[in-house]
Order: sequence, then structure tokens, then C-alpha cells
Amino acid sequence: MPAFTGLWPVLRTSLNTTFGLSAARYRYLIKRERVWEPLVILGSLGVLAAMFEVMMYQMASGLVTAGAQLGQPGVAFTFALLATLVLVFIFGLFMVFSVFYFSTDLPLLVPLPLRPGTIVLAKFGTILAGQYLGVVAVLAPTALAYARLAGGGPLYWLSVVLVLVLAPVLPLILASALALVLMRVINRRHRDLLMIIASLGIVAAVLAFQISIAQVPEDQVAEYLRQLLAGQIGLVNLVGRGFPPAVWATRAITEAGTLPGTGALAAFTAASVAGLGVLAALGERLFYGGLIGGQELARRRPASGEAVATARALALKGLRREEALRALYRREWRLFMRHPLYVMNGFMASVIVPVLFVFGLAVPRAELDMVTSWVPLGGDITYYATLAVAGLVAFLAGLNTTASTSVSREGRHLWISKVIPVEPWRMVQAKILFAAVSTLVSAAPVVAAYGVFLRPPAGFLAASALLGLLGSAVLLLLGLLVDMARPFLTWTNPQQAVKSNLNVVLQMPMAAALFVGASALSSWLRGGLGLGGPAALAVIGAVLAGLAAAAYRVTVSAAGRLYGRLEV
Amino acid sequence: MLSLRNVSKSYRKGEVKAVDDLTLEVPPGEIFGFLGPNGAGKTTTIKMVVGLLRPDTGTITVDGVDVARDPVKAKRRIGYCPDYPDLYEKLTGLEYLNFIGDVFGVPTETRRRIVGELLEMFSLQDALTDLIQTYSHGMKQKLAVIAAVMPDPALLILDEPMTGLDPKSSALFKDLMRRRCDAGKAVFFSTHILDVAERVCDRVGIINRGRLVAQGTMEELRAMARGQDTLERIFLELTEESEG
Ligand SMILES: Nc1ncnc2c1ncn2[C@@H]1O[C@H](COP(=O)(O)OP(=O)(O)O)[C@@H](O)[C@H]1O
Ligand SMILES: [Mg+2]
Repeated sequence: MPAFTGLWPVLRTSLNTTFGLSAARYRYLIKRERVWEPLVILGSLGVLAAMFEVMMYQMASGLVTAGAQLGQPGVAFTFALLATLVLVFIFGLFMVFSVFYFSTDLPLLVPLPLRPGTIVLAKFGTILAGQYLGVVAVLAPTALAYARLAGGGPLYWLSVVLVLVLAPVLPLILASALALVLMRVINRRHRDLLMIIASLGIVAAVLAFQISIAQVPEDQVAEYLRQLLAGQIGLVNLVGRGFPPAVWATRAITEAGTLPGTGALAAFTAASVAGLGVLAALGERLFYGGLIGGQELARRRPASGEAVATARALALKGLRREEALRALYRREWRLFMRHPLYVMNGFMASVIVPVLFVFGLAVPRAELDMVTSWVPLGGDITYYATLAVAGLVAFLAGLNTTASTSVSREGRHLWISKVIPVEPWRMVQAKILFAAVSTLVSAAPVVAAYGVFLRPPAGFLAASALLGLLGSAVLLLLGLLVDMARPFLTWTNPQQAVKSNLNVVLQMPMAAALFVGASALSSWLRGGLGLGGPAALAVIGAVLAGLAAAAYRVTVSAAGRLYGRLEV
Repeated sequence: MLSLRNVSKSYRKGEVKAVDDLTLEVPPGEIFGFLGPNGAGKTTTIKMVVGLLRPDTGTITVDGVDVARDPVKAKRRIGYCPDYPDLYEKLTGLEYLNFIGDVFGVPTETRRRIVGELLEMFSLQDALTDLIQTYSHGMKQKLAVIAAVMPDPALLILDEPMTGLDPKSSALFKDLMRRRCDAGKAVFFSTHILDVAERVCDRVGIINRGRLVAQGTMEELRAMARGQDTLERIFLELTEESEG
């Protein structure tokens, strides 16, 4: 094994630049500039996180209790670990592409006397550090719930901590290895696009694999249930059979202090360490090839004078006038869609769920009817389903960061927007239009699935789409407003514009407030006023439309002040 | 064409006074060279003219339009090329030019005429359909210059335009600026290279520590600097005087 000297300094610098530690310290602790901002944000996030954790804890308790009834409370850990692994893998994959191949410090690191494996390991460490908040959020409630029911001594907690630390390592190694191989193989012009397609494909494959593993052949269902209730099936092994390390990790915790438990912990640790070795070796071989391939992007130079003339004619022919608003809209579209980082971070989360719905649409009609015939459609069910679908559409819009990073993404290119002779409100309109279109992409499959699965009356279907889009509009406009009020422009790496941007996070409390408000309004309309479903939907729609219109007016009229205030 | 009256600008809440009570006038048909050492306040001045920074005090008008009061109308009259142009890396040169053309409302014919001429001058013909991220620094600067000239603006503002241009391109570019001015337009460009200012400009303004220390034709400046004959000497003389 080669010595990876310089690993620590590179890792430290990479952590610092990726998470903006020095910049934050300078800004908030030394200059004490707008200190209230992070406090407000952290506060509202804290409330949200607490709510989420309570929910997670209840779910975990339920799982532990259910498992205990079958004599296997540990299965709750297997579920939690698998959820963590899949999440880390999916989000890690997108992170890996951006940190491995698009970090701005790469041109500085590559000429240094470092092994490629060192850079890969340092970058890996940086991404890993970013995963722990999520890992703790998912695993800690389970650990607590399990400890309450089954008791937990110091050895139990020690194992929990060790497993927590190791949990994201293997899935991230898997993601990194895939990224290294992909980048080495995809070496041509439409690399950015191919990368997005490939990673979407990988994510779909992983999900499909998980789903197929969870399925029991139809003719064996009865027998399976009997064995399950009789405690003859090792649930942990069953759930974790797609990914054995999850089984080891579970046993390391639930059997902490025993010989098998220690053995499982050793196996889990050994697998993680071995994985790091494999990653370093892969990095040595593949990293520079993929990196350099990406930078070459061969500009084809015409050799002869004749070829130059052709190129010139072609270029001049391409110069054509278009309407200004269209040009502004196209700018938004192109600059977003051609940055894989933006597409992955800003757009994917809101698209993955609908994509799953599309998979669902492929289920044969007869089987679908079998399931949906159980749902007693009509009356209140349709009303609530309609609201829920509208809520899902708006929720997906809340995950969509096209609006809430819209000004921040301009970053050091903002000068262009400031020197072109265009009224600021027109530029903001183009941003709104782009966010709206990207929302339609995630909304359409959800509404379509509602129509196909549950077949509500046309009016309700239309209401779900309309309410959802109005709610989305409110969220997107508020997100844009926040980003206009406090854009993050000083990023050096597109990754930061969307990932280290607190404005994205601010969209979540707003979404939560919107949901709480809409639910309260709904129960008042139905319960308090005794309105029928359609009437209630109409009122909610009218309120949302009013909010959206107000938000639109404020956004557009704030545009002038925004572009006037920002200095670059 | 361009007029600044008592313009001042400080950074960091008054700690750094980058531009200090600057007043100057560039008439139509003139190439005006804005000369000064690094950190003198050239870029700050230019950024205020093009609308990237707001002056703390003073007024700026372009072709009679107040930049602060009617920014869009003023911007329509300005073509601007920054010192280090950060262009959209993920657009092709062609897409970028079309974008600029569209927001300025440049007719298709004008685009083809002006770009055609400049492409040849800068030998950028074969690069236009590639992504800007594949360009060298010099190519980016050339593209930014083309984008600034393409709308055929009344006032062309260039911040240190010669830094990224090779000698051949910069010679050709000088001719182009000359021709524009003969047609009644104006060029305002900054440089810290004396030689460039001396050869290209009708009139020169020398800025040091945010203050305009001298302006005039070369003859006038020579007279001011007690008969020193090279601009180098004049420059040193004048900037020393303002410091002493
Ligand atoms: N964004 C900024 N923040 C603080 N000080 C600045 C900033 N930009 C420029 N300065 C300072 O203002 C002065 C003038 O800078 P500049 O206009 O860039 O000079 P020039 O273009 O003539 O080299 C310098 O002292 C510089 O350090
Ligand atoms: Mg400068």
C-alpha cells in the first residue's frame, strides 16, 4: 500500500473551503456581520429538525415494538441502517461527482506533489463529513427507542457510536467507485448530460433492486406470513440480505458485548477499511484520467483555410435576433441545465419521486385495479386525496431550488445582468418562468398518477393540479424573494451556490407553514363552516391564488431594488 | 458623451477612498485614456459608470442620460468590457453573443457585420461554436470585447483591454477604435501601460489614489510637467507631486 503523504493538510483545506469555515468565522465572529441571520436560520431549522426527530422517534418506537412482538426488536436497526445507506448512496453519488470533478481547488491540487489517491481520499473525507448530520438524524431515534425498550449499557452506546461513524463509509465508497469509473469511461462532448443520465440510471437501479428484494413471490405469501409469525424467519437477515454489512452493523449493536456482536463489529469495521483501500487504489488508477478527460473536451481546430472559412460562415449564420424575454429565459434554462451540479442538487430531489410514480404507472391495469378497489373512493376520501396530492405537488416544489438559488447562482457573473439594458423586473420574470416550468416537470407525473391510480372525478383531478401549482407558486416566489433579499454571490464553486446556500433551507419552514395553514383552513371550512368538499377546495384555491398573486407582485416590484443594491 | 461630476466612492464604510471627487468629460469622437498605477481607482470609476457600483456622491451622465436616474436607458448606450471578464462558461461564444445582441435589440444584419469583422481581426472564427469554458483567458477577453462592440454603442468602455490581447490583435483593435471615433462615438479605456495611452489616445487623464491629477492632450501634459518629453517622466512627475 502506497503512503498517502499530505492527506491531512489536503483534507483540512478541503473541509475548510467546502464548508466555508474560515469565511463564516471571519464574517460572523470577527466582523460580526449580520449575526442574527445564521441564528434565525438555525433556530427555525432547529424547530423543524425537532419536529422531524419526534416523528422519526415515533416511527422507530413502532418498529422496535413490532419487531419485539416477533421476538426481533433489532430489525428496526436494520431498517434504519438500510434507509441511511440508500440515502447516503443517492445523495453521496451527486456529491461525489461535484466534489471529485468540479471543485475549484483541483487546478491547485493537481500540480502539487500528491498522489491521485491522496486527493481522492481527502475529497472522500470531505463528502463523508457532510453526511453525518443526516446519519445521526436517522439512526439516533432508533438507538434511543431501542435502548428504552431493550435497555442499553455503555457497551451498547459505544457500539452505536462506532456504527454511526462507519455507517456512511461503505455506501459512499460505492458511490465514489461508480463515479470514478463513469468519469473515466465517459470522455466526450456531452459529458455533463451523460453523467446526469448515468447517475439517474444508477439511482433507479438501486431503488429497483431494493424493491425487488423486498418482494415475496405471490404463491408463497401465505406460507411466508405463517413462518414470520411463528418467528421462524430471521428478520434481520431477510431485510438486510441486499447489503450484508447492514446485518453486521445491526448485530454489532444489538449483541454488543457478546462474542458474535464483537465479531460483527469487527467485520463491519474491516469491510469499511478494506473499502477505503479499494477506493484509494481505484483513485490511483482512474482519477486523473477522468479529470483530465473532462478538461480537454477537445476543441476541434480546423486545419485548412477552407475549414476556417466554413467555421466562420457557420458562426455568422448562427447570429440571429430573438425576442429579449425569450433570450433571458433561455439564459436561465441553459445555465441551469448545463451545470450537472445544479441539476443534481436543485432538481433531482423533486424529480426522483415523480419518476417513481412513472414506474408505478407501468404496473398492469388488472393488478392496479385489485389494489385500488380497496380504496373506498368518493366523498371525503376524494376530498382529502385531492388535498394530499396538491400537498405533494407543493412539497416537491419546496424541494426544487431553481428559484431559491436563482440570484445566488449568478455569482460572479452577476455583472452581466447589471450591465445589460434590461429592466430588472424582466430578468426576475424570466427566473419565475423558469422555476414554474421546472415545477411542472415534477407536478405532472404526480397528478397523472393520481388520475390513473384513484380515478377521481375530473373536477377533483383538476383541483389537485391547480391547488398544487398555486401552492408551488407561493413557495417558489417566496424562495426567490429570500434569495433576492440575501443572495450568496461569493462562491467559487457552483457546488456552493446550491449546497452551502442557506436560502435553500429557508424554503422548508415556509413550506411547513403553508401546509399547516392550508390544513387549518381546510378543517375550519369543513368542520367549522360545514362546507362541502368542492366548495372548500374552491375557497382554499382562492386563498392560495391571492397569496400567489401578492407574492408575485412583491417579487417583481422588489426586483429593481435588488439589482440596484447589489454591488459587484 | 461621458461626464462625471464630483464623483466619490469609498469601500468598507469609508475606510478606503477609492475615487475622490472626480470630475471629467469625454466629448464625442474622442479616445480617452484613463491612466494610473495599480489601485489608483480606474476600475472603481468604470464600474460606477456602467452601473456595477453606486457612487457615494456625484453624478454621471452618458450621452446626456443620468446613470442613476435612468439606468436602462444609459446602459443601452454603453458597451463594456471588464478587466477580467467572467463569462458564462456553459454557453458557447455564439450563444453568448446572441444573448447580448438580444437584450440590446441588435438587428441580425448588424450582428453579422460587426462580428464578422472582429472575428477575423481576433482570429476567433473557429472557436465561436465551442463552450466558453474551453477558451483561454485571451480568447475570453476577445469575446468580451466583441460583445461590447457588437451593439454599436455610443460609448465604449474598456477596462485594461490590452492585458489579454496579443500585439497583432491590439494593433488591429486600435484601428477599429479610431474608426468608431471618427463616426462620432467615444471610447473610454483604462490602462496602467503608458506606452499604450501615448500611442492610442486623443486625450489622457492621469489618476492616482482616487484623484485626477492631470488631464489633457499629450502636448498639454508635457507642458504641465515642465517640458519632460516622455510620458513616463510626466507620469512619474505628476503622480509624485500628488503624493508629496
Ligand atoms: N471590493 C473592494 N473592496 C475594498 N476595497 C477595494 C475593492 N475594490 C477595490 N478596492 C480598493 O480601491 C482602490 C482602487 O482600486 P481599483 O479601482 O481596482 O484600482 P485600479 O483599477 O486603478 O487598479 C484600491 O486601493 C483597492 O484596494
Ligand atoms: Mg483595475
